[in-house]
Amino acid sequence: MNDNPIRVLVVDDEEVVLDTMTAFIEDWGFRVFTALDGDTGLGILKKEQVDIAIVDIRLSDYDGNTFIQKAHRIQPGLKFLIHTGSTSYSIPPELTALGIDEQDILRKPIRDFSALQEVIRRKAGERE
Amino acid sequence: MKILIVDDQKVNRDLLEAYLAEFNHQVVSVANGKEALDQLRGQRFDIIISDILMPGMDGFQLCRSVKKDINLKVIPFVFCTATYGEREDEELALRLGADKFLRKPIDPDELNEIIDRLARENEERGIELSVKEPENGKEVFKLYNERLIHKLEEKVVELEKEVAERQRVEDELKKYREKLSEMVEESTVEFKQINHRLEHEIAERRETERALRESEEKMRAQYKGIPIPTYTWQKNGDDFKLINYNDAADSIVNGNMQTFLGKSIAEIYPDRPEIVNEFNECFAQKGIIQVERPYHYISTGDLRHIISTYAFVPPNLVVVHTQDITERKQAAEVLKRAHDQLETEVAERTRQLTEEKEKAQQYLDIAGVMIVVLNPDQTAALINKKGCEILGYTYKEIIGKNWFDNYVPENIRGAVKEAFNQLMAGDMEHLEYYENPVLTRDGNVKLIAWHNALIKDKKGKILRTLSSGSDITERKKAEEIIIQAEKMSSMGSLAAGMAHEINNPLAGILQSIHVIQGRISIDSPTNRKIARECGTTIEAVNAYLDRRNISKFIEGSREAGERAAAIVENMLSFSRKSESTFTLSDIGQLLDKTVALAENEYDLKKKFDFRQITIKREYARGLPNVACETTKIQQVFLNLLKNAAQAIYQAEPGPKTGNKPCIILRTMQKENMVCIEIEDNGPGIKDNIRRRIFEPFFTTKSVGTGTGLGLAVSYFIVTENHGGSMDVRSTPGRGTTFIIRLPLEQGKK
Repeated sequence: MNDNPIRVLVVDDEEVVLDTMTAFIEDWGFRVFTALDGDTGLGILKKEQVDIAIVDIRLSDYDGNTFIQKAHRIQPGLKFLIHTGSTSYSIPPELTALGIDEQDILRKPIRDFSALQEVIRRKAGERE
Repeated sequence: MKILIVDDQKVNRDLLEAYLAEFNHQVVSVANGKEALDQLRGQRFDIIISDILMPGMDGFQLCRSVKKDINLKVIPFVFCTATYGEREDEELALRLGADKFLRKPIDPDELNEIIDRLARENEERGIELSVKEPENGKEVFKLYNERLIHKLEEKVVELEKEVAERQRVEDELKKYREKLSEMVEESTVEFKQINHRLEHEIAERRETERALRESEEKMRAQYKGIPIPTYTWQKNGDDFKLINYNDAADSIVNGNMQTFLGKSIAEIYPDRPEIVNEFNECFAQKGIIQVERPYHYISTGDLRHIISTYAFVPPNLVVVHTQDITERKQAAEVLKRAHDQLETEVAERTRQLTEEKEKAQQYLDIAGVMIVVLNPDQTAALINKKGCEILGYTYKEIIGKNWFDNYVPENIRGAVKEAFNQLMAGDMEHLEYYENPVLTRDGNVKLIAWHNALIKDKKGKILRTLSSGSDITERKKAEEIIIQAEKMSSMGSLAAGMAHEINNPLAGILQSIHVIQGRISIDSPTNRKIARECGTTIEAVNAYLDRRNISKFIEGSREAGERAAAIVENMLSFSRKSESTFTLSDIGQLLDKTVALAENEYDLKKKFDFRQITIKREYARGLPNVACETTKIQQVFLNLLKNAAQAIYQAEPGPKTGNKPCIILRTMQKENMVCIEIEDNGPGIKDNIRRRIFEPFFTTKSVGTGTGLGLAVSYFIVTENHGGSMDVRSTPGRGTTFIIRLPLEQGKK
């Protein structure tokens, strides 16, 4: 076990997604925080230091883009991965400005989980 | 010779005298025997010619007496009789001593000859031998008496006859007289009548004469009084002289006509030879001629326009009327000018009207809609050029024909006719806009959208319909295509939406399974630790799961989930534009690569061998390369080739290339697009299926074979990914052609 595990926030309005994501991530030795909606997520960010947030674009209260912007204001060093089932999603300019690009989009359903682990590790390791 | 003629008839005496005088004989004639004897005794005669029947002494007695006389008996005695002509008489005559017995009529020459002969004979005989002695005696006397009595009897009979005849004649005469007096009476009556008639006629004639005289007077008066100048000319050799004129003629020359009376044309018009020619021509034709000329009145010096009419009047007159048409001519000039002007104006107006009409026709003809006017009896009264074009018939062929029977399809004819009737009855409300198909000459059907109006007369009575119609066939087709595309698009969106919806739970399933598999793995220390805490080992857990086949089921679930995810991925993959890369590709090469793929593809379910299909290539030369996602385009081509092969093998082979299965690949450039056609000679696609063929999940294949996504995906790859178009043409029984159009460059539309 790491002493300094990577801390991941998963925001998704579907419980099963939260559960399963938590399960992988924990198995990979990371620390997981979950939120069912944007507000909860922001609340967590206000209290906990998080390395990387995996955000669903479709949330019940905010849309993902807005959440990310708000989250960025709370923790500017936070990295983001966008997890979406939408086939047509592309990064809007305001997020591109935050350094988020096409590579950071995870399309549901994720089938290659080892790759996901790699991505999380890499992303989290990119400390400014 | 001296000849004595004895005859009681003067006429006979004269006759004989005349005969004999001819021959230069001296002739003495007496009327009876007694005188004859007297003469004989007085002078010498050469011959005696005597008649027989004479009063007093008859010829016979004379002869006897002469022949008894010695001095006289030598003289030749000739009897010449008309009455005693019988043989007995001659016999008696000769017995009495006559020298010759002649019967009247006598030929003078003959008589002369006889006389000469007798004289000659007498001379020759001499006195001694003289003539034979006359017979005396009773016989002669008897004979004489016989003859006399005979003659007398004859005479009596004759006389009796005559008397009878005379009586008869008298009777007849009486009758005739009676008749005559009748006739005379009749005639008299007739004559009276005739006379009466004649008198009547005479009276009439007198009356006629009187009337004629009156008429003449009138004529004269008329002649004089005719308001038209009239001149009477009499032919005079080659010329004519003026013998009469009327008051009208006189007044023109202010009463000076007198001076011209009796003058000839040559005198009056010495320097106008044509005038006398006109006279002569009229005279020669014996008819009427008319001449128009400008004319100088000699006495007044005026210049006028005159019409001269020459009329022949038998036997030798020409009557001339003149008409001064100067004013008339002037008026005619004015009228002509006005007429010309009017004509010009009318021509101008006509030209304008024609122009307008032509313009109207032009408008009609350049109209992009067809314009049709229908009569109440449903026949076409007018149609414009566009209408003729649409229907494919000429103007002449259409006008007058029943519009509905000829140009509206049978299945809706009744309804359209009904609509027309309602329209003609004035129902504009519902029928101002109306759509119906029309039949063209080559049997096609075109859909026309009509705007209908009614033509009315001044009183508001409906005369005809006027309709303008647009050919909306193409528009309707386009609309259908759009609707179809939209349907497909919405279905695509639906499908995509659905896929998206599925993705989430699917993600849940797959992730859950992943977690399960992860957390039963013997490789995880955490698993080991928790297992121990639960009083078992991770191996034992695995053993249980294996023996109960739970691992297999978990794996099965994962596989199923994966497959589902693959399907969704397949469907959604083309919509991720961000992942695409476009490269310039040679379409022909791409097609060929795909064919190779198809030939090599090994499909467990395949019921066909792609290699047995003849592939024909009709690639355009010099086709530019197209910017496209090669993998995806290949996917499209492959999908179409597989469909084509399946179609060919599932049905009877098509007729196109002699019934051998065949796929034709064509490429060509159309403006800024490349056109790819994949044609098969399979059974073709029915219209109702063809319309839905690009719909996602729409399939004609049996359940389990294929997903119904191939064409939908292909459609989206072409249209959404590449901004092109995809279409299918098919005739059932004749094969199918898929047409793909790709823009040469991306980003340009």
